[in-house]
Amino acid sequence: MMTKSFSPSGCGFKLPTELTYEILLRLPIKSLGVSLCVCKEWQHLISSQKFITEHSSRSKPLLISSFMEAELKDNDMDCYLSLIDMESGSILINAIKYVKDIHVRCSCSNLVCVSGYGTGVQVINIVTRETIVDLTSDDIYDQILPDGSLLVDAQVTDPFMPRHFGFGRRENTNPVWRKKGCPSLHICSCASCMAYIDGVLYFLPNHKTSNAVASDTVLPFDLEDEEWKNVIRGPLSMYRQLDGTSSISLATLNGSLSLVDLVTHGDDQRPAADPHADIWVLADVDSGIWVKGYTIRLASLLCNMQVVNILIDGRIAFVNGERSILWLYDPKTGACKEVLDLTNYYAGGISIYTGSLLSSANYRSQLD
Amino acid sequence: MAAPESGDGNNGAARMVTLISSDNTRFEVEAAAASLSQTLQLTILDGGGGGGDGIPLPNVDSATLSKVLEYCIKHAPAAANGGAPNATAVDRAELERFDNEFVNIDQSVLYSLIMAAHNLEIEGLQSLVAKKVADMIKGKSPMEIRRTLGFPDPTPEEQAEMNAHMLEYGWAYE
Repeated sequence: MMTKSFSPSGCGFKLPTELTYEILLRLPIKSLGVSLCVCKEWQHLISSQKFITEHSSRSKPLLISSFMEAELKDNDMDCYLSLIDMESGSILINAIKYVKDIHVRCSCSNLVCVSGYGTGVQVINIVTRETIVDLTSDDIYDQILPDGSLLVDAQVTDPFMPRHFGFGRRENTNPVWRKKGCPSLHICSCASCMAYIDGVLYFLPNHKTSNAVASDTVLPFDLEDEEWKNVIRGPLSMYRQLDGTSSISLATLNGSLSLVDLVTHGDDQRPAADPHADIWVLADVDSGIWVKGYTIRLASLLCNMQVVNILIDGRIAFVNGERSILWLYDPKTGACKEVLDLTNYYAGGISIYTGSLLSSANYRSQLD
Repeated sequence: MAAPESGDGNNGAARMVTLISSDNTRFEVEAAAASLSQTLQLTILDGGGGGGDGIPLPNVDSATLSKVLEYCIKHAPAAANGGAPNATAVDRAELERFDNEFVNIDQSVLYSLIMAAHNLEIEGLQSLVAKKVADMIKGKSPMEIRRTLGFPDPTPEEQAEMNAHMLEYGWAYE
């Protein structure tokens, strides 16, 4: 005979664990933060990697952005670095309040890099609100690498002419900062012109200042030796003329360097109505052999959007610049949908949160 | 409309099966409805449950079984259409209204339903009751959640641990 009430004794609902699991899966992130504190069993369930992965694949991702409260927009410049729950369209965490507007530059796991005039550059742990790096200089961080290292454009007096780049590795609590002069070529250090693979950073030349070199030339910098390596000739300039308007970017594909050639305006071979991206993979670093890996047809809708991030399930997040609308595009189904209107939030910069808010490791590791 | 070739007895005159609750009440129901249960589906496909045999369900009492079957009968036509991709908006709205009403029940009945849906592997019902319990948890404090679900009050040690966690996960309480 079945017990006809919820558990009269002990934690666990008197429900089998898999049922508790199913129930918890259906809670929004905020309720899960509360449910973690209900009892030990729930805490173990919710903070397990399996649960975190499954829950995040069912829900919309969390968004990091800086925003101004709508009613404050006219008077003050109060600005918040916030984590936004797209599921409810509301703010989950207002991590830090700034008196001037700030721009979210990039994020990796819980670390968020923000910059602003008068604020300088900060790297903040959005969950613990701990400030990891605080530089009141004009240095601009461009990337946080997967291992926690930070990259920085140093001495950027003219944003279009970076003469140096620097990088820091956060070992224990002391970041080691380095500055390194560029080779004779100017590098472009925007996120899409740079890739990081196995201790080597690859850059594209700065289109605006490096007319002497083809825009698909790759400049490798070895982070271990701290030296520039021989340039790698790009795959495109071997057979066609490249001009300053070519849309070329670097990326990592299955651990290899790849060069993405985005063709949205049409060329000799294809009409403009057929926007596509050619992906070239560097098959052999030493001999500089490129292989044309893939050609991806693009929905023309996506051509004028700014890519925010690629989610763990393969969906791509875009922002439509004019209206500050966040879209998600699923390449598997071709479905593209609006997920959040940021107009009332958006101050500058946007990033997808890639950490796991529910993991207890978040908190423990920061106490060490 | 062509009947799907699922072999679940949905063609021609509806095939009936008999289910027997733990307190020995017999329920006669269309095979298509009972087949929403993954557990029963295999037995029914094998030709079981017909005639005077009946399928015994020693884990489900008659009150719960009649509730479960109410759900299955309502959802069977849509399920037979393969998740009802061609169902009208009206049909879907009607099912949604039914579902909302269906779980608007006493907690002890809800608990029995959760267990029955689990034992009988009725996917839609499992999902529905899990959602219902999740809705009961939403917006409550840890203490309120414990009380809602009938957990005993925490011991002083448990209370201290809860408080520590609430500090750690402060973002959830803003």
